Amino acid sequence: MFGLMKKDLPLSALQSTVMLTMLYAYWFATYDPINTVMTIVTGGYVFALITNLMLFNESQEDKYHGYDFMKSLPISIREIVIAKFTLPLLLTAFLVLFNGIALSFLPGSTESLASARIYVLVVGVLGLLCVGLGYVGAFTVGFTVSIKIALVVLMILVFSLPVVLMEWYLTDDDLTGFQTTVLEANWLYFVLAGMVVYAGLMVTSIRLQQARLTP
Amino acid sequence: MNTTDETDQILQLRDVRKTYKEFVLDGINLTVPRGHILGLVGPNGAGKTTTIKTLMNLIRMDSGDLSIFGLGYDTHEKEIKNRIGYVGEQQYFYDNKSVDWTERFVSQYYSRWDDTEFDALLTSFDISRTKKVRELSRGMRVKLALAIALSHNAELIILDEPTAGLDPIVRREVLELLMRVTDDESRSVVISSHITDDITRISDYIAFMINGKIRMHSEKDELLSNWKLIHYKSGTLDAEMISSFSHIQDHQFGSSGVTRNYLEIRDQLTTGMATEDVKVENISLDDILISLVEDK
Repeated sequence: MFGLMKKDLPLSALQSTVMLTMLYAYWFATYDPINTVMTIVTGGYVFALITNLMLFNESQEDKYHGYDFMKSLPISIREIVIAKFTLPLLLTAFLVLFNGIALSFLPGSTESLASARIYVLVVGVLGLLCVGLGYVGAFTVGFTVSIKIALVVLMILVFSLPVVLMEWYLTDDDLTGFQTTVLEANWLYFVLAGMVVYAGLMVTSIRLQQARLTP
Repeated sequence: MNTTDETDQILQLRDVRKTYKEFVLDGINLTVPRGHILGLVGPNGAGKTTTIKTLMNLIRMDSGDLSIFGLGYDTHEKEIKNRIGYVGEQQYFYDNKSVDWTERFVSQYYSRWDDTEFDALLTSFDISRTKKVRELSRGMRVKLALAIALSHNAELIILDEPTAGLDPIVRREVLELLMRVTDDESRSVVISSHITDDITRISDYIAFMINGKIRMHSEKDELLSNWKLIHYKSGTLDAEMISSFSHIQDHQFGSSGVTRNYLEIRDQLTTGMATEDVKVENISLDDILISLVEDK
């Protein structure tokens, strides 16, 4: 299984190194106290790195018929899928740890540092859930179709839904309340529940890949 | 038909079925004795690739039994694939990676990987380790797939149309290599092709596949000894014998027809052959395949 993860690692490692170097070079150059914008941007980088790992590697598998190649070797489908889910998990753990440590070298209150660390962790788990859903989609309808569906869903979730909700149903206070509830009061439950769902998505993905033996 | 002891079969397919919308693999029965080459012959769309993919567990059969080395895929997938060398109809690799990377990737999954053998094969195939896979021609890709298939002491080599699209020189090289593979009689080969010349050249056993069914499965020598084209002048052969012929054609020198049991009727033809009223001609696997297709 290590060999399967090693195959998918190089570009992600390079991308993470470049992006994190750029990000922290900027943070340390400006040396501003930790604030909401910094927290959101750092979380955005974490989310992008985790989801990009899956997107790039699946595009490669799709382009080169990687799954057909691997299935002809003495590797079980279970091992292939577990490796696909383990690498993003390890990357998330690394990013959470790295950012948790790196942020502590920046000025700011203890509360803002703790809040930023929790935010990065929660966004990391959200990224993992997107990865898990991405694999379920890719193993159900194929990578290309699943990307098209994901883009439509993303457009609705990111651009349309918040506008509709803010216009008719929610106030700024609701959002702040939600953020406070999730991030600061129940983050541990959220992370644990996220991990359980991620494991469930992995089991589903194994079954879907096994079912894809029948084209 | 196959007379080898059943325990010596490296591969057994029993009543294997697979149904698609417009195609049915219909009760396939096949055996391959250890140390022999089985050629799977059939027209395009006959079900050869489906059968091969079933052998590799790349397609899940609807029903039937499949046993390789006496083991089943349900519980021994990795062990079975560890002992098989496979060259598919399409050679899938990570094209953006080098030959060297490809070897390092695949070698970690085979317990009996032989780096020296792989090196020797690359050298004989004139493939550079540093080349990216995408830089390899179609023939070179087949050779790389063969090098991988032959470098982990596989007991069974499975090849799906490996010579399709190759030039005659590379084709000959590939076939000669396969014949050398079975020299030690511990390895077996299953090769599918619609190029019957290739099959004739290397196979010990031949299975004809038409419309998802095995129409005939026999030793090659027995098959070619029994299937003959008989040319005869009218009145030289009795009506009962002529009625057993297929594809009877009349021409200006008499008639001709294909027999499937020449060894049985040979004695009855001796007189006619002596007076040159009867002539016996060998026929190719192509002719046999065409006869079987037309007989459907």
